[in-house]
Formats: sequence, C-alpha cells, structure tokens
Amino acid sequence: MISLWTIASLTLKEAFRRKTYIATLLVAVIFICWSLLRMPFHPGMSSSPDAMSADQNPQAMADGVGKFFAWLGCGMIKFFSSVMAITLAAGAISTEIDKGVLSVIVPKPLSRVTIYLGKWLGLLIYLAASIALWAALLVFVVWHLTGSFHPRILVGVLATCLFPLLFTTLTLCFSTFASNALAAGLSLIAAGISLADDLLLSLSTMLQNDTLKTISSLVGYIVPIGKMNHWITRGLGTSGFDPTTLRNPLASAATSADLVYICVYIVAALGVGIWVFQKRDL
Amino acid sequence: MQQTQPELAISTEHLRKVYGGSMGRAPFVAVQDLTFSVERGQVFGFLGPNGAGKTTTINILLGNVYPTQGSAQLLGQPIGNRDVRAKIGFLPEKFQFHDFLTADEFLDLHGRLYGMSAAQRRTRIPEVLEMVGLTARRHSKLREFSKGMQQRAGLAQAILNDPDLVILDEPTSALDPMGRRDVREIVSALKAQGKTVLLNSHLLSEIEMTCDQVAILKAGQVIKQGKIDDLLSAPTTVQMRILNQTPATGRALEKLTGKLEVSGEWVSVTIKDEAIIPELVAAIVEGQSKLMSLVPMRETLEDLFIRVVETGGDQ
Repeated sequence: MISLWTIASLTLKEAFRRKTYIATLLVAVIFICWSLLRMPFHPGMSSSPDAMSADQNPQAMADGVGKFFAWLGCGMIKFFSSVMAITLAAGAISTEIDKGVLSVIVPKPLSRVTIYLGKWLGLLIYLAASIALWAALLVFVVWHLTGSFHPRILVGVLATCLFPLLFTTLTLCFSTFASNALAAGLSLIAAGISLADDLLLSLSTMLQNDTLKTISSLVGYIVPIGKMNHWITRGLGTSGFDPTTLRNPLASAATSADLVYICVYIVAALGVGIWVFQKRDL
Repeated sequence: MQQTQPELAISTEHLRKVYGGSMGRAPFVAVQDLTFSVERGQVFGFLGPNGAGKTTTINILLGNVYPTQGSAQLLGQPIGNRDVRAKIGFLPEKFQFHDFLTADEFLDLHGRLYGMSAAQRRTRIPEVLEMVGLTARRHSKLREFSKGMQQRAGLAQAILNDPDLVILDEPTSALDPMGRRDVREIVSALKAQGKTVLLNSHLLSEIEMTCDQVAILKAGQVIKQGKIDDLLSAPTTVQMRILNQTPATGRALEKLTGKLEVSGEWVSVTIKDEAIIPELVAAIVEGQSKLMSLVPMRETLEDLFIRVVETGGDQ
C-alpha cells in the first residue's frame, strides 16, 4: 500500500513537472473572467418557454443564466479534463519504459500491478484536484451572476468526472503497448468513434433506418461517451440553453444500466492495461 | 568424502530470449543458451562484445524481461521472488532518473520502494551519499548533476538497501578516473562485507582489478568462464634486453624455452611457467652475456578477451 502511494505521489510530481498545472490555471482564469461579466445572458436568444418567460420573471431568468453557465462550465471541464487525461496518461508507461525510468523501479520489491495502479491513481488525483478547483470556481461564478446556489452543478460535475476517468484508464491502457503519440492518437480515435453515436441515431430516425440505429447502439458500447453525456444531462437538468438538447433532440435518458456499463467498461480497460503491462518486456 | 556445494547468488539454466518473430518481424536471438553461476561473496565480471546479450541477461535476472526459455535463480529463489528483490541492488546502463528530485528525495523515493522504514532511510541515505561522494550535493536537483554525478546517485540507489547482491551494468561509463577509483573501492567494500557483485563493464582493466571470476559472452552464450588468475595463467612472454649475446646464450635459452625471437638487443621468449625465469637468468650469465632487463609479459584480460572472442573460446 505504501508503494502504491509512493508511485502515485511520484506520478503527481511528474505531472507538476510537466507544467500541466498551467492548463489547470488557464481554465480557472477563464472561469474567473466569467465572474466579471455584469450583463446576464439575454433570454431573447433562446426560444425555450423557460427563457421566454424570463422577460417577465427575474428568477426564471437567473435560473436560465445559471443553467447556461453550468452547461458551458461542465462542457469546458469535460473537454479540458479529457485532454489533460490523454496528455498525461499517454506517456505514463511508454515514455518511462523508453527512458529507462521503469527499469530501475520494476526490480524493486513491488508488483507491476502496484506500479500500474499507482500511476493510474496519481493521474486521477491530479485531475480530481483540477476539477475540484474548476467546480468550485464554476459554482462561485454562477452564484455571483445569479445570486443563488445551484447544487445541480455539483451533480453535473460529478457526472463530468466520468470523462477524465475513462480517458485516463483507456489511454494508460494504450500506453502499455503503444508509444506516447500513438496512445494519445488511439484515445482520440476512440473519442471520435463515440461522437458518431448521436449522429447515427439522428440519421437513423430521419431516414427511418434500423441498421443505422443498430450501428449507433453498437458504437455507444464501443466507447460509452454518449451514455456518459446522458448522465451529465441528468445531473444538470435540461434547459432552454441546454446544448445537448440542441445537438441531439433524440438523446435518450440516462439509465442505471448505462452507469453500470460505464463502470464495467472502465474496470475492464484497467484490467486489460494491467494484464498487458504484466506480460510485456521493458 | 562429500564436497559441499557452494552457495550460489546467481544461477541460470539454458536461458534463451528471442525478440520478435511474430507479425512478420524476423526473430532476433538476444540470448541463445546461457548457463552460468556466481557464488555468493564473489565479484563477478560479465564481459562480452556489444550485442552479446549481457544487458538482456541482466534484465531477465531482474524481471524486466521475460525469458523465452530456461530458468534462473537469484539468492536461491526463482527470479521475480519479491523477498529476494528486496535484497538486490541494481544500477542500469541506460537510465534516466526523476531529475526533478533532489539527491535526497531521489534516495528517499527508492528507499520507500525498497520498503525501508523512515528511520532506516534517515540513517542510510547520508551513509550512501557519503560513500559515493555526493553529501555536499544532497539538496541539489538531479537535473543539475553531471552525467558522472548522476551515475554516482544511481550507484547510491543501488546500495541503499544494503543488498546481498548488487548488479552494476556499466557503472563507470560516465565517471572520471577518481570516480572509477571510488567505484572500485565501493565494490571492494561490498566484497569485504560478503556481498555478491555482478559487474558488467567494457573497462577490462577495472574488471581485472576488481573481479574474482569472469564470464565472457558471445552471441548470447558463455564462451569462457573461470577465475581470472586461472584464465590468465596461460603462456607468458618474457622480454629481455641482453648485451653481448653469444651463441652459447642463444642455445641455452632455446633449450629452455623452445623458440627465441631476437630483435637487436631484445630477446623475447614464451614460457609456460614463471618458475623457469631464474633458469633463464642463470643461462644468460653462464653464456657470458649481460642481462640489462627482464620483463615477464603476462597476458592481460584484454588480450584474453580479444583472443577468446575472436576464436570463439572453449566452444
């Protein structure tokens, strides 16, 4: 257990050394800049009934603005945390093998499983700390702009955490057999495949094509990003400014089965990564 | 009478490692059929030309690389045993440590990975830093170190856990003469403490000075193994400077050694036993010649290495 934390803390220090905290701070600065906005979002820009009523109801307007920034903030957290996860995890194993760093650590009296899990944990702690900072700022921004606390933001951010969790696990798994660039590339391809999920579903409905619907469903299982998005929607709730609703009016509701599948998927990716790392030569 | 078997620190049986061979890649045999053993308490030199399979063998012993065939034991246990790993120290040939750490932090990290307690680390880290001559730089970051200083830090890491077996892969490649002397002293100190050292180095003069036994590898196989004294007791050349050379002196030397090589005042003979040297001196004096100098030219490890590698050794 001590070895696990030692590797995790070493991974954390390595992340700091790579100056990824600059990205963390950059996103934080963006959130802080939002808080400087004096003009609330104009409700006329939306056609939703909620927002339309905001002209007459300041509370509804504040809710609309709050939801808009919650969605925008969660979208940013999702994007930046995923990019950071891929960047950090892509070289976590392969680069250290190439440099010869691991050849001094592996002969120590600890298992390769411990080394792998330590790295995974270290990366997740770093990302969790970044997300915690961003979430705190987001809550503050929304409170500052609307004058009220929106607890659903926290639920939305919690669902958003699935993204860095999945990309860290997946990219670290790729990093056990692929070079830094290839591991990152494979993760981006996986993300690209998953984007086809919603697109194919929309097309299948428009064209009334069951094959496309089946493919869409399959794609959703290959990389369950669509299912994770549904959980963010469930966390934040829909609104007139809900970009998911605009992008995909056919988005299905988040189900517990989806969440179970996401968890199984992450555990499986972790297992595969550990297995490959145990079997490979350094 | 039954002979007791010496305790072995390292033993390998028909180790073989083949890289590639799948997905259209041509197989590459790094280690062919390696069988050798190292007794406990010895300083063992692991020699061979580039690509002979030395580093691959070391990586197999340490669990960094899995053998395709064969088996190996370290300190009497199969490779990979975690208790045994706690008793092994290793300095790799190609290394890059976490250079954002200070020397102190670096050793503390590796002490933790060895499972050493905080108290053990507090005592041991200053000791090993002193041994490798880095006490004054203990708070400097490794990235500020020269290559030689990094190698010293690596060596400190390799002996941090007071190991029973130390595996050093080219430990002096980046060191200056003083650094090399320090490493020799550390190896001698380890030997005096009864530790086993496996030393892989291209600096044959150092191997000759520090090692008890050597194994010479070529193409993934041991082609010569034995005690250095035994390996180097092969025919010795004696070079003499003789003035006033007479036919009687020539005949007497020829009778004692079989063949003379004469080049002006210089006479060179090959002898099988150094005990014959006083007879050579007597023959020169009796032949009315003047012996100005006599230098027994013992074969060096480098001579042996080149000869064995070029001829294929005992194979």
